[in-house]
Amino acid sequence: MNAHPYRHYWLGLALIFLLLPAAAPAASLGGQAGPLSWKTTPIAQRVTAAETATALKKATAYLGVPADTKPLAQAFVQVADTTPYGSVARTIFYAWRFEIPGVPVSNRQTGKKETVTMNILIDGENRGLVAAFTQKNTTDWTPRAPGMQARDPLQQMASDGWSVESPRTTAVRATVSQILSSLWAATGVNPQHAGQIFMRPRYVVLALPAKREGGRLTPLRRPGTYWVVRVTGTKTLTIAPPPVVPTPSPARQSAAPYMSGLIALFNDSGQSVRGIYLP
Amino acid sequence: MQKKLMAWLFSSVLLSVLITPCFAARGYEGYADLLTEAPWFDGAKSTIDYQDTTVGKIGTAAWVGIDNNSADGLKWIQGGWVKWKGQEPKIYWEYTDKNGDCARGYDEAPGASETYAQKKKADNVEWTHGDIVYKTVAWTKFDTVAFRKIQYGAEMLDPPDDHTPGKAASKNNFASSMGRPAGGVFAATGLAHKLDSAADGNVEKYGDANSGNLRTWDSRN
Repeated sequence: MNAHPYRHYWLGLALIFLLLPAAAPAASLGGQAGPLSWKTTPIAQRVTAAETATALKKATAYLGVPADTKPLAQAFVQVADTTPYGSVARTIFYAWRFEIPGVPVSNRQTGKKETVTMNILIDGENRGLVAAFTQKNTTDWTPRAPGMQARDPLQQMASDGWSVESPRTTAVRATVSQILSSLWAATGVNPQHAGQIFMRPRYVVLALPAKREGGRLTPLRRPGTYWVVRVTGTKTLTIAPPPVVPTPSPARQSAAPYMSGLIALFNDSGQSVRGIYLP
Repeated sequence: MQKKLMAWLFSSVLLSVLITPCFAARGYEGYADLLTEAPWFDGAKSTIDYQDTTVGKIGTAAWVGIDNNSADGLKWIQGGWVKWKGQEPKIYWEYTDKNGDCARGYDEAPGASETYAQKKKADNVEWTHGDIVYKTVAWTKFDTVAFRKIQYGAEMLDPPDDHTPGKAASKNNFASSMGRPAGGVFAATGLAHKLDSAADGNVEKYGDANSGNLRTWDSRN
């Protein structure tokens, strides 16, 4: 007698198990990449399947993969951005997070090709690209060189004459696939083997390069949408001191110091324009 | 001023006799000059026309720079053209400041034959190619460094796999290579110390003795 009501529960459970494979599994509950961190939000329950489908379509377009690409994971999350914007030190907003495999990358200098799995955050309000990034690659991770001190990437960009702000538009011409390919050709960083790559389209004003006109330096590049790409945990440069004469520097005959990071800048046509190596 | 210049040129020539090129880890083809007393260099330039560079394994570069020539804590300011294996060519700026902090960055490579220079300009050091300023850094980072050495030349990061820029029929040129002692003007520095350590690499002066002209090439055409 008492067993009868549970028959319906088993039926329900069976239905759930049947339906589960049709939907992407939820992305991990929380995480952090670059200046962004995210966590679950009760708001997610109010997000409709149609809204998620629209966001996914935008995500595949930003990445440069077919629109029917199935995400490995997805979630609607609350994001905290610790990038300072004027006097605002921390910004909170909502976003979709998708983990999407098969983003094609190629090095036009060598002809080599790879695919990478990218995580992408799509703004919950305007469907703009918040950021795209690879998972931390613990297998290939290169630690900071001994004796090297970490440097604040924001300070480094500022001291190199980059003024970096939120994008003025959600429209971008280049895809994540194109920017990753350009990164590979310009800097030799293979996205498949990089420690971690984190990228965002930004509105950037560059003070350099410039021409001196009437005692003033006039910047040569126009302000606009650029892609700021940060590479960490990757050997990006071996530091080669000049030789000492007549006796060569001992530094060149022992283990050479190296840089394990990079901030690379690309214009919205996917062309490499500038970069700064980081310890 | 002219006497001083002659004095350090003479010292440089004397020292060049003692040079023993034994740069195992890298290969250099070029020339260096040394000052024996202040005023130290605060500027360097050369018109570099990079030709026929073959990158076998790591990379190669053509650059001009000044440094303190100290085995015990090198400090330097350097800039030029670089090509790493599997990468697009770039122009780069690089320095290690008085505190030992090394920094490097890059920008798009211009066409061939550009004058690359780094020099103190008011309160900054400027890196330029042609009439374009592509990097500035506050001179206070270097104000206690005795930049006694100037160098012009090509560098192979992994000889013999990497080649000296240039081939016998199309040599890599460094024209009008000059240095500037603080408070002075740019002038030819003599090209006293020959740096010739790359397997299959070659370097020679050409033109007038005070032209500051040199060229490099690899024997493997």
